[in-house]
Amino acid sequence: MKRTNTLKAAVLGVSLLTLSGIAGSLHASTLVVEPEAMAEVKHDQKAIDVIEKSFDAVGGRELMESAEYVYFKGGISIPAAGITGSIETFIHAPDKLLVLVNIPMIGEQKQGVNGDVAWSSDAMSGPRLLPEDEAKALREETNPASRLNYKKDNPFIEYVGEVDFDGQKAHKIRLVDTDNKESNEYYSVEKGYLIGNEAKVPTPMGELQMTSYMREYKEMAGVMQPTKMVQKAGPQEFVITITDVSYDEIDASIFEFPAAVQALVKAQKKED
Amino acid sequence: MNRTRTRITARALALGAALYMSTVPFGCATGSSNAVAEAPQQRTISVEESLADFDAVWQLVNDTHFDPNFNGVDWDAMREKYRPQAEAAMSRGELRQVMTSMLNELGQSHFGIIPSDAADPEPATDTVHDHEGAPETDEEINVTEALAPSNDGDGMGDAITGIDVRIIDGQAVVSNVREGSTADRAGVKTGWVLQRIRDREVSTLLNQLREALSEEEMGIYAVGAINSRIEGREGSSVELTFLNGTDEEVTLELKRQPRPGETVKFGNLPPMNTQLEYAQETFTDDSGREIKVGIIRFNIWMVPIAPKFERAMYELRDSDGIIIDLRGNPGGVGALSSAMGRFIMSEKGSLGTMTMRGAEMSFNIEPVIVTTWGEELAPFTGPVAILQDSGSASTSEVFAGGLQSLGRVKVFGTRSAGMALPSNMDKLPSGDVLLHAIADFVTSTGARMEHGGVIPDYEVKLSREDLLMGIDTPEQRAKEWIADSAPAR
Repeated sequence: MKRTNTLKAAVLGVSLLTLSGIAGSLHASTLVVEPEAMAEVKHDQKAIDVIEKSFDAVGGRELMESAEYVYFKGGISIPAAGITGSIETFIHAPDKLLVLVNIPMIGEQKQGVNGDVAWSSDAMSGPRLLPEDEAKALREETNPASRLNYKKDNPFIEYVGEVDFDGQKAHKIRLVDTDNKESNEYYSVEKGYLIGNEAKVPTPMGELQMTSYMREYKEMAGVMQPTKMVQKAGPQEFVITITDVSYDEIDASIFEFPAAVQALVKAQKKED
Repeated sequence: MNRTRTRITARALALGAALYMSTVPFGCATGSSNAVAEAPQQRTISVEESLADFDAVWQLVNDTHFDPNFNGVDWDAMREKYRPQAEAAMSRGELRQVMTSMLNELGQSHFGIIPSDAADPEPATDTVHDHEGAPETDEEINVTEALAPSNDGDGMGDAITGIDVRIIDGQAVVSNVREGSTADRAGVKTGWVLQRIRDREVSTLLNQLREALSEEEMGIYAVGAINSRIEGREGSSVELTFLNGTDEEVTLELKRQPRPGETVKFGNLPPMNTQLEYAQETFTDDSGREIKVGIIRFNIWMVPIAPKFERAMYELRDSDGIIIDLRGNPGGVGALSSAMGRFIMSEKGSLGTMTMRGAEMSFNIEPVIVTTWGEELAPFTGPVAILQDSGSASTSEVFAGGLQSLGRVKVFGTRSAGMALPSNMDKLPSGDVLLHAIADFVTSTGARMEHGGVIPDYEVKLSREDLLMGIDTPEQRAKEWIADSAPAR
């Protein structure tokens, strides 16, 4: 039984991994949607079919709904700077997340969500409670199953056509979420996987137009998932490689606030 | 989870982007090298090796330069012009000069080749640094080699004698003598003029650099070129000849001692020493009021500086005013400008925007609320003065210019270097590193730092006369301004 649950969770986690670009807070760059048009729900059946097929390709809806814990670790690099480091992510659905990025000479950067509080902390910027746009984006990552609500989250889903993307044939899909924010998704024609997306992503330095490439799908913990992810914003490039994935229970203490964030929360409450 | 990674990397990417607001490494082969090294008779590099590096350099700039018009330069034509020269290069050094010449056609800062032995040096040894046939006489020196790290036969190392020099009226003048250093113990004083390093005339070195470098480049590179000839292996000695306060020659054999601070190796950049010092000085103004001034000095914008800066701001929080001394600070990690700005900005703001091809990033500041050790700390609200000079570049200019545009600081000193383009540092096939700008930067009021630099609110120059009396003129003027500006406690 336990084994079955673990496997289900694994499949679910990977599904979420591959479908992450669908959720609502991303903005796309090219689609212009008039506000009036947004009142009307438009879901192209062909687009829906492509998305649903991608769920199947990584395990199926049923498995995705059962995910509770996700852990992965790997490497992170900025090739254009010769910088390399490590990354670990802990998720406990529905509302807990911790991300640790460790880069020599930059130090450890932490990001987390626990309940309503989304925070970050690093040697440069110190502890921060994230502003709403960044917080919202991070909160969405704490519940892998939220991806399945893509129809509700995106009133506008349009099949654009078959295009060349990252060296292969891909279905291009445009999405506009309930905040009128847009994104483009690319799904492999051959395999069905999500292989990339284009979106504006909130960062401490403002919104960044970013293109992501999901590559090198491999079987890990019994499921297929991309083990290399390349992020590009303008001339800059980030690479994440995943080396380990687990869906076992994660100790709750992992998600507790660091002392500085606790102090920040306390200060914030005092201010409120 | 994919999008989790998107968020995570977005943040890291933002950081990474800012990291590229890079320093201008002194080992970087830059400048308009007028002097050409004599070609060796024997080829020491293959055509394939030369073209691999050359093509990579051209392509990287072609793909990532923030201006699709390449600052008005026909970049395709540059390839046609320089590729045959690269093909004909007989040595790695010659190839570097060809590539540097091509990059110089752009007429912008943050373009250069960092030799692999500077980017990834071997640990300090007794081995003499090999400049690949670098000419040793004053007559034959070329700029690329003059700018490269040099220890003149004392082996690699960055041990110091304890003096800082600045170029004042065309002379290398001692601007600071570290207390307790070998120079201090030997009696070296501020205001002395450095005449010779061993038997090399400093004036000759400066003249050669001046012929080949722009005024902007002189400010940032000349001091580095001199320092690299004073520094060397720990425990070794260097003979320095000065003109003292009465213009008499004084020759001293000074032993090099370990450099204080921490050496960091950040990505593809060469190892760099980081130091931050702070102190609080108390003096009485004309009205008899006691004034406390906090002074923070650091030599480069690298991450190990961040917690030290935070500690300094915490310890100096009861000061009437703060002086941040960025003179000679060539830049570093761009994101640190925002990170440090949060200690002196009580409102959210932006230091400015870096514009890349297809993306923009803002150097946003969020005021500090809590320290990294969990103690509440409000941003400093008293007057803040920034000291800068022609050696203040890149991130130093983002910080000074950005805060000046926001009306938060007053800048004292001379115009900054005007070299403030966020850059990447890609490794080439040979292991050399290409430093290349990928973004432009303007402050919140539209002030462009590249070439323009930060214009000081109070133009104050160091003078040899004042230094001989132990007076740091810009710092003195900043203290007076703080005394005038600070509200009564």
